[in-house]
Amino acid sequence: MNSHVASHGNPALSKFSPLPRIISYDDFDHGVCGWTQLVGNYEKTLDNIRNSDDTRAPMLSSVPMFDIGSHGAMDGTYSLKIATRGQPGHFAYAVKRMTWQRLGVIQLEAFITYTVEASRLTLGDEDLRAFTIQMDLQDGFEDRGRRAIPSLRYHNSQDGELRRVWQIRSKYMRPKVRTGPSDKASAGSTHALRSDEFDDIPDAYQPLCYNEVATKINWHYVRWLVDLDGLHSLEFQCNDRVYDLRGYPPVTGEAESNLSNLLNLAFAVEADADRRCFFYVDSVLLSAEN
Amino acid sequence: MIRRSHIAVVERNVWWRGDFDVEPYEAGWASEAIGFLHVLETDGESPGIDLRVQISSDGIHWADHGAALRGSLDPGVHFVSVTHFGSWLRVVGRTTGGLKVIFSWDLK
Repeated sequence: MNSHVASHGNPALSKFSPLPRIISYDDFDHGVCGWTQLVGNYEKTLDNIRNSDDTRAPMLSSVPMFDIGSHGAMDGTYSLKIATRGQPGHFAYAVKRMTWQRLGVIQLEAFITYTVEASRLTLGDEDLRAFTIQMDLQDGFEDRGRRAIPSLRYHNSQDGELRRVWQIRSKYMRPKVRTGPSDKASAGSTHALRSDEFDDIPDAYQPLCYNEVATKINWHYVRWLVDLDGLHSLEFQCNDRVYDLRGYPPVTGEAESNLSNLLNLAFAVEADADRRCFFYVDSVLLSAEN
Repeated sequence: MIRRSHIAVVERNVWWRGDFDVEPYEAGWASEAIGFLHVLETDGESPGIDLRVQISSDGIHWADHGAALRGSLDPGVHFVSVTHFGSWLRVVGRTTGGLKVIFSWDLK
């Protein structure tokens, strides 16, 4: 309640329900706010970046459409856009890299939307396979810590068939693969987006308002509560639906020596057809209980 | 308010051989751009390139802007400058021989 009273003094924050300490507030009218494309780890040569790490550079978008012009953002002109190539299975990924101060409960809130490129005069609602909201966390380092990548995925469609179900990442981390001789970086444990790592959340079929042509977008509210101490999700909300995730055990793997206190936020979008898929966010608020 | 700038790497460590096109980049907030072409390696001696900047108001339909980078390139940094480009940028073109490149938009 106190946070509501405080945020009403700031209309930009009043649409959120933050925990008492705001860690970051990203309004993309002020720039990319630290959100950048993911690049795979490498050493000595760029040639050992995985091919799958073609995750594309995020853009500040006015959401321009050929038939109406700029759609605009939830607030102001610009949102952050990530865009896939027009290739089935290609995904775009944007990450914001931080570290945590206390192992407590944190909350990510955002307004999001998605659509496909209006390169064909069809709705294309089945052409976007999925979008994912993700954190990349580590509570210590080497043998004193664990790494976890809790993830929530909206599985919109698969091979042209609509699903529209929220999923949670439930499989263990894959073994690490070294990218070079020094043992300072690994590949293979990151951007945990493979569909076989996710399970449907029970009763999480949630058709979101996608609208009726590809050039119309509607913004959706998401709120995700995560316990850093246990490295696992507690609760997820999308618009009017709230999903209790407390029963899911943490999905953890080996800690890395150079990722102490890791706190990364990420958004990803994956194409299901030969058509670019777009995911937009405006704005993003990360808060903590203490 | 300090002036904003942003660098977007839109192609990284890829070989251009023959025809190429780079994914569109939306940058309507910026009024000038430099497309940096960092040639990492070449296949053959001083391959030729004909790189054209294209612009669009919707990211779907494209027209040549006029800015271009043409000639024979050795490893190193090359660039093309663009102003009055609207909201979308991309580059297309063709090479004779092979160029391994990083291409980025430097925007402000």
